[in-house]
Amino acid sequence: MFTIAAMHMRQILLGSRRWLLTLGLIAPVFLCTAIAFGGELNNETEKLIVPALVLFACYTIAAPALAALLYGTSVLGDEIQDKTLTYLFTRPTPRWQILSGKYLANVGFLSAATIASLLIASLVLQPRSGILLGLVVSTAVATAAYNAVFMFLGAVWTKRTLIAGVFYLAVFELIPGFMPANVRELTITYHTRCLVLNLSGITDDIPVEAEPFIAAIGDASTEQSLLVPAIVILVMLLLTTRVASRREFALTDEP
Amino acid sequence: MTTILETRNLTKLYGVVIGVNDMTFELGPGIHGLLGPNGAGKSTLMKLITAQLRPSEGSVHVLGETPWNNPGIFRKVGFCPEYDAFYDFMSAFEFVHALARLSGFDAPTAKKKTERALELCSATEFMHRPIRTYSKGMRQRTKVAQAIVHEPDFLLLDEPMSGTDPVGRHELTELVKSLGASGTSILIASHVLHEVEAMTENFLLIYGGRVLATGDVHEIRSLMDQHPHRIQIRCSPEHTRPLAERMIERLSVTGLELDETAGTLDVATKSPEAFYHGLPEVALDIEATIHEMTSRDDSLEAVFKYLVGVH
Repeated sequence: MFTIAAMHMRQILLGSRRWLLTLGLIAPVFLCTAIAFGGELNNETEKLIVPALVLFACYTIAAPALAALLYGTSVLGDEIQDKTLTYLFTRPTPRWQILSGKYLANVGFLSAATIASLLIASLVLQPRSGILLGLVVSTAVATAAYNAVFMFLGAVWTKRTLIAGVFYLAVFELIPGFMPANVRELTITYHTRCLVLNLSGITDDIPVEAEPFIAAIGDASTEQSLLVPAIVILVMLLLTTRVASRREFALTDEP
Repeated sequence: MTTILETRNLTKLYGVVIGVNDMTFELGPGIHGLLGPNGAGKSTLMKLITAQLRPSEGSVHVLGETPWNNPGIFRKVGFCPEYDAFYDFMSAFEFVHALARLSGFDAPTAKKKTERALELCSATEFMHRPIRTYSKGMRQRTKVAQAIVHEPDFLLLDEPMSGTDPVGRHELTELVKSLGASGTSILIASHVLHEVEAMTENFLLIYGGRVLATGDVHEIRSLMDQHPHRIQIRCSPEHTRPLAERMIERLSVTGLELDETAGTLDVATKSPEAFYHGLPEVALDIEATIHEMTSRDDSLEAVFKYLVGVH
C-alpha cells in the first residue's frame, strides 16, 4: 500500500494539475489579504464572525471540494488514460490496497497543502485560536470525505468524471447543505461546519442577536460530525473497491 | 503433462462485436507463439488471460486457476503489454523496483530482483535515467524487465519485438529462449511469423477471434504449402517475356501474370524453396537483371487467408 502511496504522491507532485491546485490554494490567501486590508470590521461581533466565515467558506467548503474534484476523480481515470493501470492490476496486490494507497496519498498531500494555505491566510485575518483549531480539523475531515466520494465517482465514470463531480457538489452538497431538517444532515458540508462551530467555542461568545444565524448553521454534536464523514469514507472506499474489482478496465479501443 | 493455459468455449463480446469466439485449447509447458494478423483477437485473448477482461461465455484457466478477480495468480504470471505506457517521471530502475515491491518482495529483495531483471534485459546502462528520455527499444526492454522481475512461471509477452532494433531483437530472442530453457512457460503474441519462429516451433494461430490451427511450425508450413506461394518480380521490361517463358519451362510455376510495360511478373508456386533456388540460373541464362523480388506471403494476413481457405 505504501509503495502505491509513494508512487501516487509523485504523480500528484509532478502532474499538470499541480498548477491548478497551487492557484486554488493561493487565491483564498489573496482574498483574505484583501479583506484584512481593504475592509473595516466595526465591532467585536464582526471581528469574531467575519474572519471565521471567510476562512470557513474558503477552506472547509471550497478548497477541499475543489482539490478532491481535481485529484479524487482522477485516481483511476489518469491510470486508464495513461494505460498504466495494467501494471498495477497485473500484480498480486489486491485492488483495495491499490485504491487505499492512492486514497491515503491524496488525503495526506491535499490536507497538508490546504491546511498550509489556511495557516498562511490565518496569519493575515487572525481569527481566534479556537476557530483555527476547528477549521484545521474540519478541513482535514472534508478533504478525506470528499476524496472518498470523488474516488468512487471516478471508478464508476472513468470518462467525464469532472462533470459527475460538479453535479454531485451542486445537487448533493451545496443545495441540500443549506436546506432545513434532516436532508442537510446527510451532507459532508453540514458536518464540517458543525465541527468548526463545536471545536471553535464561538457559540459561547456570540451575541444574542446572532444566535438564529448560528442555529441555522447546524446543531450536530462533534461526535456526530466525526462519525458521519467516517461512515461516508468507509462506505465510499468499500463501494470503490467493489466497482474496481468487478469492472473491466479495457485500456484500448479494441476491437 | 501439466496444463499451463486452458480455455473452454472462451468467448468475449464487445457489444455485438466478437473479440474472441468460442476458443477451446490447451497449452502445456514451454514457449508458444500466438500468431494472428492485426485484429485477430490476440490482445483480447491476452487481456482475458490476465484478467483485464471477463469472459462473456466459457472459461479460462491459468496454471489451474481462474484469473478473473484473483490477483494472487500474478505471483506466478508476468505480463508485458503491447502498448507503450509508463510512469515517465520514473527511471527504469524505480519503475521495475516499484512493481517488484507490488509483487510482494521486501525492499532489499526487490532491489536485487530488479537489478537482475534489468541486467537480463540489457537495460543496466540506462536504468537510472528517466523513462521519458528512452528510445522505443529501451522502453521495450524496460517493459519486459517488469514482466520477469518476480520470476514468473508463466510469462505473457504481447508484441515484445515491436520497435526493437536487430540487436535488441536478437537479445530478446536469446532471453526468451533462456527463460524457456530454465522452465518458464511463455506465450508470445505477434503478427510477424519469423520473429516468433526464432524462439519456438509451437504455434497457436488465431484469426477472426477463432483458433485456426495449433501445432508445430512444420505442420503449419505444410498447411501453407498446400496453397500457392505468390512472388512478385520486377526486371527490365525487355526481359519480362523471356524470363516468364524460362520460368514456366524450368521452375515449378502454377500461375503467372506479366506486365511487359512495367517489367513485373506475378508468379504463383507451390514450391517456393525450389523456385528461389532455381531463379538465379534462369535469370543468368538470358542475362536478365532482377531489380526487385518480394514475397506476397510475407504478410501473415495472406497466410491466414490461405488457412481460412483450408478449413
